[in-house]
Amino acid sequence: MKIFKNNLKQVTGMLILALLSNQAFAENGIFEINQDCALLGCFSGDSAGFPVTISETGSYQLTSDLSVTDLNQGGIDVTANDVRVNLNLNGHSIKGVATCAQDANGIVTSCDSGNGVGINGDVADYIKIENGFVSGFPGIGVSVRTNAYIKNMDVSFNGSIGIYGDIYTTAFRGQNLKTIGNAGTGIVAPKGSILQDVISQRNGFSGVFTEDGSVLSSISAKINGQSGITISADSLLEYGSSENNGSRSTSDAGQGILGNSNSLVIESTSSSNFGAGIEILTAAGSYGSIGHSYMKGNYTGGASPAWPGVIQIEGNFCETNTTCP
Amino acid sequence: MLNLTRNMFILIVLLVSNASFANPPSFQIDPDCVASGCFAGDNPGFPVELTKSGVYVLTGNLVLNAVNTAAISGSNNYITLDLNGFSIIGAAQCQGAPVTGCSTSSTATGVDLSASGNIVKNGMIIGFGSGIQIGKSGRVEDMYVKGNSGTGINCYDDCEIENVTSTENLLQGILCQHDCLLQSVIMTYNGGNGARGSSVRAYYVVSSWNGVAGIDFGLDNTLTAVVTRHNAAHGLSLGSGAISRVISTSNAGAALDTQNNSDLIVHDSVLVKSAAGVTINGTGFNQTGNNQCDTDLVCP
Repeated sequence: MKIFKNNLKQVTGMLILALLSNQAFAENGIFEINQDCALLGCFSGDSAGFPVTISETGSYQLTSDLSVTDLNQGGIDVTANDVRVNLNLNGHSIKGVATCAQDANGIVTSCDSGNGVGINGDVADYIKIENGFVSGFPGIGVSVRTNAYIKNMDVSFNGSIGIYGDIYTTAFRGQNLKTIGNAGTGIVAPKGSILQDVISQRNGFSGVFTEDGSVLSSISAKINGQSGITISADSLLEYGSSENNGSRSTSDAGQGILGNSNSLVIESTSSSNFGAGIEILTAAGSYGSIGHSYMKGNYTGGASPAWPGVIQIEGNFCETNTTCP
Repeated sequence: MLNLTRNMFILIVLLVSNASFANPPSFQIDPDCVASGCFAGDNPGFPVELTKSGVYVLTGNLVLNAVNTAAISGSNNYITLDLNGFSIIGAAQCQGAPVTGCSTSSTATGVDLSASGNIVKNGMIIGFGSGIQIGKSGRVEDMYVKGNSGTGINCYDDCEIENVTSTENLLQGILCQHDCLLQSVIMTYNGGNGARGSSVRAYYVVSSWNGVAGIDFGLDNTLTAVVTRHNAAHGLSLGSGAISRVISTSNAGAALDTQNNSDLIVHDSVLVKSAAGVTINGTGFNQTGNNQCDTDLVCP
């Protein structure tokens, strides 16, 4: 029996070593973040408790969900500046405890107040965030700046903007994003951004807003409090779908799709919105274009009543006739 | 009982070896192994030499203090270099937006995989001569390439560049030699063109604030969903091909330069000059769909 016990101890030790070495190999040098280490400090530069602070360039991965119970604390704070941080949520969630109120249409009107931000990278360039969920924070869900890349993320039911790319920076890239039920706008992106494959619904303000010179493709915005999709000057929207937006609108007219000078909206659908289906706001002497798009059942008709400065590329359908104003 | 223990041990060994076998064979590049050589065939120090086809995974940032030294090189085909979210950081330092010069320049390439069928993915390369040199039928994906004193990415025939940002390089952001694909690519603040090449397929591209043209492609190109703005020369300079859903505005040169070639098809696009520029430069502008050209629907 003594021999068995000794051997069992050896085997157990070997098993632990084998598991540990296998785990280290699987991580490939990536820093782990999980609930247990968050409470103690996950790595150098991260003090105990939330938010987990990433202060050095590198690759980081969640290995469990993170649960933040203080409304004034965020989930992860990236302070590494001008160097790259890769943050893979690895299918996990970062959850706060803010609860949100919804109106009769299911649009989120407000959430519990506090300072907590889900992932705060507002001083860090070149952040990539992917593969997970962020919800329940009273502030912004995910906040980033220059050259951020966010993909495969669901950022929902936060008390401010869902995903915010600092509008004073440039070149945000977003792919396969879902923002639902945030009290602010679903997604805000800076100049020169690319957004692809986005679903944005029941947010308190707009579904999606992008600054000048951006490319948007396959964007769905439904039942948001203000306009569905707003693109600024010199931007392209293709395959946009905007329905039932604008019931809480105060600062805009609740358009389905709102463009600006030299913007092009093409192969898009806009229906049953509180304001115009598609409206292009143009500066004096400039134009915008709409092509191959469908508008129906919007409060003020297919497009803005006077169609100021709008050039139609062929093939639009506006309300009851195919010849738009 | 002793046999049971032995059997348990054997089982554990088998499980561990089986777990290793289940993963594709790969080589790790750890910052600590560089000084002594990371694997057979890799001499001590930089560059890390990838001597066999296979998958190579970075397990930490590589930081080079020597200016003219490459970080990683390989002469074989079918190498996949996965930066695993990490960065390769050289010593070159460039300034300006767009870049106008480099206080510290480099003649070395960050990652040089010039043979065929190689892949570089998932990380950042900053501060070399050229950031990445990728050979025929290569692929660069999910990468940031920044602050190199030459070209950001230099790719040879039939290469694919997807989900890439190439920014603040002294020369071109991306140089496609022939027949390459650009998809979901951002090129900004480069001192040269955002991108140069020929026979390029470009989808979902932003090329803005570059020191020369946004896009300068020769013959036989297809561009869709492209925005070029605020470049110091033409927004688009294209020899031939078809473009649609392109917006070119506020560039110092022409919104579109046709290179005087008669085989350029344009539809569903917005071409607007800057105050000092022109809308169309050159001949050979064929429209097959409605375009918005500055203040006219019908372009010249």
